[in-house]
Amino acid sequence: MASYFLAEKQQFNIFDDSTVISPKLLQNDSTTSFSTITSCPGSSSSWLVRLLIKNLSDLAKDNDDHISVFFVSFIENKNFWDTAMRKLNVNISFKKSSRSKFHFHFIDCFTDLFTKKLSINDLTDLSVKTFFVNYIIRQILAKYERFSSNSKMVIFIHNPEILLSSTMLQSLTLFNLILTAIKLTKCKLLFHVSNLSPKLADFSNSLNNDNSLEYKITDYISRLHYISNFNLHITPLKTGAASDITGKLSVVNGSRPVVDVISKNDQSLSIVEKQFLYFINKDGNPVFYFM
Amino acid sequence: MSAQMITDANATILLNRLMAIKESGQNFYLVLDSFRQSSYYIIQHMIHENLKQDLDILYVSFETISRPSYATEYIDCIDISGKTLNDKIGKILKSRFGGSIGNKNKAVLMIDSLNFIKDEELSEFMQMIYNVDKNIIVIGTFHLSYPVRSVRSLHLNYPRGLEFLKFVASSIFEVLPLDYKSTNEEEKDFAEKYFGSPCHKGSNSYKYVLKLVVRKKSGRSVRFKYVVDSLKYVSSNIQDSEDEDSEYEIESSLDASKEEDLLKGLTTFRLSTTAGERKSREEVELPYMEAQSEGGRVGGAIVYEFEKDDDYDEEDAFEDPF
Repeated sequence: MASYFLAEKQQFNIFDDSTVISPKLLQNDSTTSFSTITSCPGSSSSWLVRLLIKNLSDLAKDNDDHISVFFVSFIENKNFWDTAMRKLNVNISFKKSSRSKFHFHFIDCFTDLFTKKLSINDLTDLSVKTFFVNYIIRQILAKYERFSSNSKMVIFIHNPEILLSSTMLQSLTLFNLILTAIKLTKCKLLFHVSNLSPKLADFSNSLNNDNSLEYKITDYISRLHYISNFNLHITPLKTGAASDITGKLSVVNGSRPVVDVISKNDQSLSIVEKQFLYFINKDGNPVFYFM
Repeated sequence: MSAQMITDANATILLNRLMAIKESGQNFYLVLDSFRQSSYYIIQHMIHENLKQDLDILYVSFETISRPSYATEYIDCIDISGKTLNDKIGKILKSRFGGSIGNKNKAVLMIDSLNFIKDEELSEFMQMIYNVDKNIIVIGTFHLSYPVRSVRSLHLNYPRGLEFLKFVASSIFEVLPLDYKSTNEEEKDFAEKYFGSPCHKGSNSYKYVLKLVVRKKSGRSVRFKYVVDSLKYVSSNIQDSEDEDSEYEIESSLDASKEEDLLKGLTTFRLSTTAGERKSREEVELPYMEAQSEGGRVGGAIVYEFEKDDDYDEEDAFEDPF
């Protein structure tokens, strides 16, 4: 524990050019980056998501580009994020005429999901797929076209694997839907946020039932990890609780580097693999310590 | 010493020739990767080695987000499988190569992940490719850390995808992170068990370990192990202290988990061994291992040394009398 006290406060950054989200990443026209944010029981990723959104809004302020964030959530409603954004001092009310260069669109997949959006009597693979395409992908495209065209699109998708546990949707179908969403929307960056229960995501290769939820979730998360450019993983402290440390955040390389490092040779866009200890203070802001 | 140097040089030349797709008879490269070290860098390395020659690269994508710059044709196969997939790729292959690759350009079919093709459809898929032209070079990645499907009611006697691919591949590239041996197993177990993430620090670096198995036309196969740096495009052969096999590793870990199950809940004492303890136990060099290295050279020959009272009998007592 002593080392924790000796540890110095750290600037939090993911990229080699000391940024959380590098502006170069959004300017790059040809590529889309994909990142997973995972947390496990005993920790939460909402502070990190807030930090990323705040960062994107600052980025829009400092640069010429307009940035639009599409937030697709399966576990929160719009009010939750309205409050969160207000606390962060991020202006999310926008009109086409307004000067704000940052647009925040919320797509609510939580309210009335099983009563209005999906029919409880028809939860087959196909009907959930249709819902995903029609409700989520089409809505993103329509809103983008209407309010934010020419802006750089960033998508957050929060806990879509809830569909795996509550419907007949197959893991491969959901994975293909995520890929389709990336390809159709041509977004610059997609964050897949999920809370993994180790009971459900078992990477030890000991699953023995293809139709079990464990298989579906593990298969889905595995597939995501093979296409990700970087992974952010949040865990609670190994030792349990501490009054001055909330948990640990690991920034890890994904299966593919952010840019074609070899052909483009741009090191500033590479990830700095790091582990941080973080502490969420009373205002809900994180303080980082180097590990 | 000099023999060792020759082996090293041979190993490096072989790898360079394979990367440059110059080795004859090698038309199916199977790349095995995992969460911790993906096939990205080795594929990039191969592309770099081939910049000078005109490669026709058809990229079959099941999971790639953006089209790679080196692909001459990009075949998007999201959400298709089975016959539709075979028909689609077959049609494109036929229209491009139509049985006449000849000597000019080399045709490469790159598949970003063979995991997306069902076990029972793999043989048909491979057959379809080589039916068009057997000179097509297939470079396919197979992810090792996917959960394995267990329901196989229809195709009970069919081999697993990985087994089949290992059987038909002409060379197998297995990529591993540099620290694949030294990772603290106990810590990893803990992380995976309680914190459900497959990612660890030190993964997916441009510097990695490569285990290579090359099957020659003669039927002989050679194994080498390298440390490859795909930013500088250099590789060096390394020696294996123990003659290990990936299959063997799987088996031993299975045994260990069985042992753990047997001893579970019997007493309040811990009778099983942890991964870390097992690892250190395996590392202990036992005295007879040294004898093996010298005596092993004689192989299985029976060497009988006569003593002075021994009666020498020319006839073979076990010979068939008829």
